[in-house]
Amino acid sequence: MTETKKETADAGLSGMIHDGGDSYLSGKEPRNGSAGHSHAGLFGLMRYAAAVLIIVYIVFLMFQTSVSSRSFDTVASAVKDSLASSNLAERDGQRFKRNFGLNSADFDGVLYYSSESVMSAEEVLLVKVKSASQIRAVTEAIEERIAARTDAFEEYAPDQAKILEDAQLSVRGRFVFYAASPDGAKYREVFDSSL
Amino acid sequence: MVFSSVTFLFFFLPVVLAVYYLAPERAKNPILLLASILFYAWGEPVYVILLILSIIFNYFCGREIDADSENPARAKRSLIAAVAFNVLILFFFKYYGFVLEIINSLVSEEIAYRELALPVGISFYTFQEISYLVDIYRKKVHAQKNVVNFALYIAMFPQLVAGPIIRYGDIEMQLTGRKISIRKVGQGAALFVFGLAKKVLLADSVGKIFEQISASPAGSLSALTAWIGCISFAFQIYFDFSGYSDMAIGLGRMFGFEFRKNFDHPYVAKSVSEFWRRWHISLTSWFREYVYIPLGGSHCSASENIRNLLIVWLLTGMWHGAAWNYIVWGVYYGVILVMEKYVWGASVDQMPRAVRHIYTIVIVLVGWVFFFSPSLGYALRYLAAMVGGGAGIADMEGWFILTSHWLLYLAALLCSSRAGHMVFRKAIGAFGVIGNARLKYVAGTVAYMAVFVVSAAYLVTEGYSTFIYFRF
Repeated sequence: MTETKKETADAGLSGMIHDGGDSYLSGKEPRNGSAGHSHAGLFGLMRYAAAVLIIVYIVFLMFQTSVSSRSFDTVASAVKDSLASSNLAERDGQRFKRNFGLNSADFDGVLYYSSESVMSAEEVLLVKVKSASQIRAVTEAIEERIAARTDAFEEYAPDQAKILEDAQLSVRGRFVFYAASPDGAKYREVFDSSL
Repeated sequence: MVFSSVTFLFFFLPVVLAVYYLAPERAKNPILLLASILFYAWGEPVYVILLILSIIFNYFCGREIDADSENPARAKRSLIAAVAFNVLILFFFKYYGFVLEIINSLVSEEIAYRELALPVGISFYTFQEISYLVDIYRKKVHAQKNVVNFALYIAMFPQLVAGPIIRYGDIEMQLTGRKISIRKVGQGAALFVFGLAKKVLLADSVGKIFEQISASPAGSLSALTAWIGCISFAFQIYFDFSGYSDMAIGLGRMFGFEFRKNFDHPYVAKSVSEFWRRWHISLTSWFREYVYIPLGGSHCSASENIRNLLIVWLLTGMWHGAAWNYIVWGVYYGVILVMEKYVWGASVDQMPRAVRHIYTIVIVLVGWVFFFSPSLGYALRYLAAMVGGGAGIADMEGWFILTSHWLLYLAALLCSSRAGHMVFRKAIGAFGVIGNARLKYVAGTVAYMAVFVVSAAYLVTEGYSTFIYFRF
C-alpha cells in the first residue's frame, strides 16, 4: 500500500473545509474557555448515557432475539427426524431455487422437504441465514410462495389452501422455519425445542 | 431493502424521489433521513435502534472532541474512549461467536453462548463514525452540530449498508447545500442503471455457474472446471460489489450528493498493489489513512514498514468476517504486497504488460479461493484441483460450461475492462456524429431505458438475490 498523491489532495480538501464556511465559526457557541469545557462536559455526559443505552439494548437483544449457538446440522437433524414418518421428500438446492427464487449457497444451510404429489401443498423449509439482512428476503420469498400456491389451490383443492393458510412461519435468531402441513405445529415444536 | 428488488425499484425509490424533489430545501435532509431509517428498518427492524443509538453516541463524541480541541490531552482521551467503544461493539457482533468457538476448541469444557445476527452495514457505518471522530481530533473538520445532518451522513440509504465508506470532509458542504439539476439526476440514473445491470445480468448469471461448481466436492473438480469456478466468482464479486457501488453513487447523485468512486476496473491492474488501488477504494484508503499512516506508513525502517503492511492486511481480512479463511486471505495479500515491494516488484515491472497482467490475475484468483471457501481445508483442496489434483486436467463439465456460456464470459470480460463502457458510449456517440446532439441524447436515453427494462424483466422472472457485501 503506497502513499499516493491522493493523500495531499485529501489534506487539501480537508484544509479547505476546515477554513471554509462552517457554522461553527458563527460565534454562537464559544470554543474556548470555561464555556467550551462545560459544553464538553455536557457532551461527555450525553455520550456516556448513549453508551449505556447501547449496552442495555444489546443485553436486551441477547435475551430476546438471540438463539443458542446450535449449528445448522444439529437443528436440521432434529427436524429431519420429525419428518421421517411423513410422505415428504428431501429436495436439492435447484428445487429450492425454483420454488423460492433463492440461492442455497447464499445461506449457512438449507433443508427443504416437499410432497411427492403435485396435488399436495405440504412442504417444510429450514434456512439458517448468514446475516440478519437475509431474513427479510427469505420470509418474503416464503410469503410470496404461500400466496401464489393459495391462489392455485383455492379453486380445486380448498383443503390444501387451508393447510397453506395455517402454515407455520417462525424466525428465531438466524433460523427461519416454515411448515405447510397438517402436522405443521408438531414440526414447529421440534424446531423450537432443537434450538 | 435491496436496490435490486422490485419493492425498491418500483415503490420505495419513486416515492422517495418524488417527495424529496417536491419538498422545500430545508425539509430535504429530514425527508432523506426518514427514508433512510425506513429503508434500514425494512430489513433490520431490530437493529435500526442500534443504528440510531450509535448515531447519537458518535454525535456527542464528536461534539465533545471538538469542544476539547484546545485541550489536546482531553480530546485525545475522549477520542480513544469513543473509538474503543465503537471497535468493541463491532468486534462483539462480528467476533464474539468466533472467539468463543476458538476457546471451545481449545478447552475440554464447552462454553455455551447465545448468538446474535450481524447487523447489516455495521462494518461500514462504524468505520465512517471512526473516521469522523479522528478527523475532528486532527482538526480536519469540525463536529456537525445539526443532529439530523450528522445522522444523514451516517445513515444515508444509498451508502448505508455496503458503502462506499464516505469521509465526512467529502460530504460536509453537501449536507448543508447541494445542487440538484436535471443533468445530475440523469447522470445518477444512468449510473444506477449500469450498476443494476452489472448486478442482475452479470453478477447473478455468473454466480449461478459458480454456485453449481462450488456445490461439488473440491476433490471431484477438474483443473478446467476449478479455474472456471474461480473466474466465475471473480466476475460475480466484482459485478456484485462494483454494481452496488455504482448504484449507491448514482442514487447519491440523484439526491444531489457526489461520492468518490469505489472501483476503477481492478482486473486491468498490472500489479497486486495496483489492483488494491482500484478495488474497494474507500476501504483501502480508510485503512491507509487511519491505520497504516498512523503506524508510520512507509516513512520508517523496512522491518517496521513490513510490520505495518502485515497489520493492515490482517485487519482488512478480519474486517471481512469472523472466519479463518478471511484472516488467511488478508495475510496472503499482506505477504504478497510485502514481497512485491521488497523482493520481486522491480523485476515484475520489467516484464511485458501481458505477463504482468497474467501475474496479477493469477494471484488475485488464488486469493478469491481463500475468500469464497467455507473452510481452509476446502480452500486447499480447491487449490489442489486447480493444478490438476482433483479430477485431472479437464472434464466434460468444464467444456460444457465453456461452450454453453462463452458469450456470458465474453460480456463479463468486456464489461470488467474499460472497453465495455467505451463501446457503449461510442455506440451512442455515433448517433451524434451521424445525426445531431439531440439525437445523441435520445439514443442515450433509449439505450439506458433498454438496459433498465431488460434488467427489470430479469429481476421479475428470476427473483433477486442479496449483495455479497451485505454480509460484511
